[in-house]
Amino acid sequence: MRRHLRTLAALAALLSAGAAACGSGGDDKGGGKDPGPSASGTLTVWLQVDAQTLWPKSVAAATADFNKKYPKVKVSVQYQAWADHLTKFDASAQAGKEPDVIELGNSETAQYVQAGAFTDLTAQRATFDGSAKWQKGLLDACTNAGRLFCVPYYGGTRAVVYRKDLFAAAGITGTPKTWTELRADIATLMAAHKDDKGFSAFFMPGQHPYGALPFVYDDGGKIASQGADGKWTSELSSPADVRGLKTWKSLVDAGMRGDRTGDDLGAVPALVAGKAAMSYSTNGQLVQVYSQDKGDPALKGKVGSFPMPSPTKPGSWTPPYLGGSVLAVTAKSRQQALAREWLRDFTSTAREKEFLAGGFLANTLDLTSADPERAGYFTGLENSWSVPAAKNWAQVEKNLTVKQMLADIATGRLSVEAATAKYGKQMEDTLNAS
Amino acid sequence: MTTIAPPRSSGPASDAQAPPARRRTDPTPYLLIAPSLLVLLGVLAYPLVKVVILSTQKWGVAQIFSASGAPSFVGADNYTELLGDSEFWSVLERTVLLTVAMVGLSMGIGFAVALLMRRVPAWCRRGMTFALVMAWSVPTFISTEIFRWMTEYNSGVVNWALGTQPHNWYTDSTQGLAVATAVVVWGAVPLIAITLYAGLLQIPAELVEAARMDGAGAWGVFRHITLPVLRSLLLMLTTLSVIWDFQVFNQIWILRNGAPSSDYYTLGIYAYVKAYAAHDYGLASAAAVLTVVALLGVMVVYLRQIAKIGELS
Repeated sequence: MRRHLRTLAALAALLSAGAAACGSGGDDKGGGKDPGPSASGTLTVWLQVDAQTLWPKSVAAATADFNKKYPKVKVSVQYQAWADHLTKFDASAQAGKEPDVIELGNSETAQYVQAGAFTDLTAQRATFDGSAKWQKGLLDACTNAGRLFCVPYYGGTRAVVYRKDLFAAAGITGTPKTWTELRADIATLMAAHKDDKGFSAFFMPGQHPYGALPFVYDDGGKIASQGADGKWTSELSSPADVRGLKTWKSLVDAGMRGDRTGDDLGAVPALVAGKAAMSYSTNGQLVQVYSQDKGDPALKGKVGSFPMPSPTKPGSWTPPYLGGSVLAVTAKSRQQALAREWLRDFTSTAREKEFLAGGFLANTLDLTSADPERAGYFTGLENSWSVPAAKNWAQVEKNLTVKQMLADIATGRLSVEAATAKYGKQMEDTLNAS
Repeated sequence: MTTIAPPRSSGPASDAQAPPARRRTDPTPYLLIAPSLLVLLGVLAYPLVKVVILSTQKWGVAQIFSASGAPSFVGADNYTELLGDSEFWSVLERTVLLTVAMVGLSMGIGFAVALLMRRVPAWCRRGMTFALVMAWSVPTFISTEIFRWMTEYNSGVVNWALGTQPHNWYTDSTQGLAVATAVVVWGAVPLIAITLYAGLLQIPAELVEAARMDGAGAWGVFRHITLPVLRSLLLMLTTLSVIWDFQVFNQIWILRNGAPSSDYYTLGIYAYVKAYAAHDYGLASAAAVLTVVALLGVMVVYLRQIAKIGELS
């Protein structure tokens, strides 16, 4: 009981903190109309801490642009943690003190969009930079029944990160262009390190859905589909999904000697220690390999990236998962026009270029990087996919349904058929829960 | 969870004298108790009432962001949903089994250590007390993290000592929960051992001697002297342990990296996930209320024991 009381007390504290933090909203009830340069008050923006660590200058620049038009409006940017930002958002809404603008991960939006928490931005879409070629995975997260409820902020995807020096030491030149070449390189590396029980030619742990599911999509499969009646059906047991997962399992078996129940957080330490020659990781993780605090600066120039070759279509690449963040204007914000304006400033082409330079993808396909180290990250984006736009998808993620399934497959605890049947049913139940 | 000091194990001694005739209107005792009562009302009673109210409401993202922004009253719906959910029952079963294992092991080992402390020479006893207090003072967060390292897949010392191949302790939740049990027991033994050792010191030597004169062996002394004298202490420690272990949360949460899979859920974790992952605050509150109800029986035993001790002294 003590624990629950403490949890509740924490919630109560959150409620009051939320109320205190989000107070003082300007009282312009202008709705959709431009309140003009005399507008005053405070615009509250909730961004995730990533903005604070990766591009604080972009946040300041956007606010400066905004203040040129509305000099009297104070922009209060409050940084949130991924672990509890939605709980805080719920609490603030309950207290009637929501932020005006909020950032969400693209797998978090569906339940809020369907609950009516965000303002419909369909009519203003054209006023946002790059909106004609927004990344599909982000745009899908903002769209419900053909209407737009948020704006893509930045994206992130994964590619094969590899240690050039370990490749060279094993006598491998160049990067694999086909699945056959990749598998041959894995065999070469494993043979070269056969005495090291902790060495993985390809670090691919079980709890790595964004490493495993690209193979499902490559084979023409998907996670789940929605019927005309709105009910979701698991596709995990479909022949295409099972084939894709078996291909993935063969990669795990061939290249992974580490803990198969782990997640991809283990990739960077393994690469840094030379215990892995390849992993399927984000650009941020690649940079960490030679960073001062998490990696080894001596490895700068010794890591690179290439896209994952397709096992089914020679000369093509597996479709990457596109993750990322979006920004929404809350439906109950009393400063709709101001909120939209700040959003425009923060997702302008100039700012998006900075997000790109920060190691991520811009919100539009038009902006790419020429850095050879990042070569793997811009291939196949037009085929990128995202999680099902189901209101309960976030719940599936929190339940670790897919991760558990993959861990069971990777460790061999369950066959692909048994695992997809068991966890597919669980996922279906969660997706269709009221 | 075991860092809470044990409740007073003996009542105030001042009752020995007859209390002076009290004037009925003297407000001093009430004034003295008022601040703590206010705090208790604010921190315990209010959330408790609130959680009971929440448990009768449908309160999730859909309601929070609806036009009215108000929860809807659903009566016992949350409870029927919970009780009809097979996952809830398996979580409850797991919680009960874990509690039995944790309480049994910590009481057994704690008692054994206390008995051992009576037998060993003084220098050794001091060393043991020191080690127990040190172990007691380690926050669960740190001890759990250390157990996590020790059971690490590639280079954990447990795998090394057992001479096994790299072995994953968490694939099978039975093994993973066994590690969690080890952490909890490790943290619980010091309090139990030290308390019981103090209790053992209370046994009058002449009682033991008399029993021996009457022909009682070691077992007879234990059975007819030690156990009866320690009875109320043992009962109290056991009920307290049940209350603590029934709500085990941190150890499992940390061992599983803040993301336990559903075969690691205990009632506490289940309610937490329903509230903060599913945003289903009504259902989570119902689970919390059921936990409280399940513990009420144990608490009654505990409170009666406290009352008894008060009467005795």
